[in-house]
Amino acid sequence: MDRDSILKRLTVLDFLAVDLQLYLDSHPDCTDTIKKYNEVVSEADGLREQYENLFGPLFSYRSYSKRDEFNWTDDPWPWENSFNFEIGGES
Amino acid sequence: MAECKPYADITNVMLAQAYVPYQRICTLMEPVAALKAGTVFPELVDVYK
Amino acid sequence: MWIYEKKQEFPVKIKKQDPALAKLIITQYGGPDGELGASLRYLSQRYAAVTPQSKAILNDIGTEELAHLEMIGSICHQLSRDLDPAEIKAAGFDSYYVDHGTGVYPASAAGVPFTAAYFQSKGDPLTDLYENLAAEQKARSTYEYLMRMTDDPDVLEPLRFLREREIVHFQRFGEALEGVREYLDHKRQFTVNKDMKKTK
Repeated sequence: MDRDSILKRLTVLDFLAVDLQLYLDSHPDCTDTIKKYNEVVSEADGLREQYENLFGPLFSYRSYSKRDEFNWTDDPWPWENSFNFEIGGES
Repeated sequence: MAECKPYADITNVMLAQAYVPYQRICTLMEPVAALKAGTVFPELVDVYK
Repeated sequence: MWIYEKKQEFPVKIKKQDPALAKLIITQYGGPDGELGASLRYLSQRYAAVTPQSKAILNDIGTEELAHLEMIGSICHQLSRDLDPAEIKAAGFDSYYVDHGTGVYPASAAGVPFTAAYFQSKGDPLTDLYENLAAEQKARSTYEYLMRMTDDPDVLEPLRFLREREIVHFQRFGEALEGVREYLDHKRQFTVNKDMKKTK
């Protein structure tokens, strides 16, 4: 997958996790939703690892760095146009 | 087939209080559609035109 | 504690510059009903919260608002990057520009700098949650007014997302409110069993 596709899928999964997590904050006994939430987290974890291996660290002090250069500082940063993918049509 | 009601009934009502019913999950949206809409719960979507 | 993940919650990719619009959208960065106020309000209210669920909701929504703050800053940055003085003046962006250039500074659309007076942390769990319900509605209205100010789909998409988040947050604070009411009611009744259901 290219960077835009991986980043899009990761963004989508993390958002699902956030929205489900907020629901679970006020519905802590909803076991069906907990199951779905854990599934989303699992898939996101795998994809996060893939993204970091290909495109660099997502966290400043929890991600592994490239050995010859501390690539955390690399451009682009998320507030810049070129960092982001087009949300596009339904897919 | 019973329709899923996306909220619980409000009970224990008092004066001088405001109430928001507890959400009950019925369905979840498709992932990309959820991101674009701003929520994974279709019953919470309030489309602004 | 907070940890930063190097990606946006929702992508911000704006192709067309529009400094006049940036001057309006900045109000959700540092204005009365903006994301900075929202974040500080909820994160400050956490300390006086009484139920674990309401602590979690205040913590988590307060955190999400920081991600929204980043989105708004990104929108304003991308809308106003490479401009010449004539464009700046024509767009009515000059009064912001002379104080902040094309940088991002927390202020309202009218140029009032951010202040903690925009929010309250009353130390009363019920009062705080009612404040939050109102705050989410104010933010929703502001996003609707902002959405009326542009046709640019690159800007409308993130604004639409942010508006819907306010609606979801309102729902969660409403649920937290019920949880806190039950807790305070049970406390008053000196009950030990937290699973006791009250019937009328």
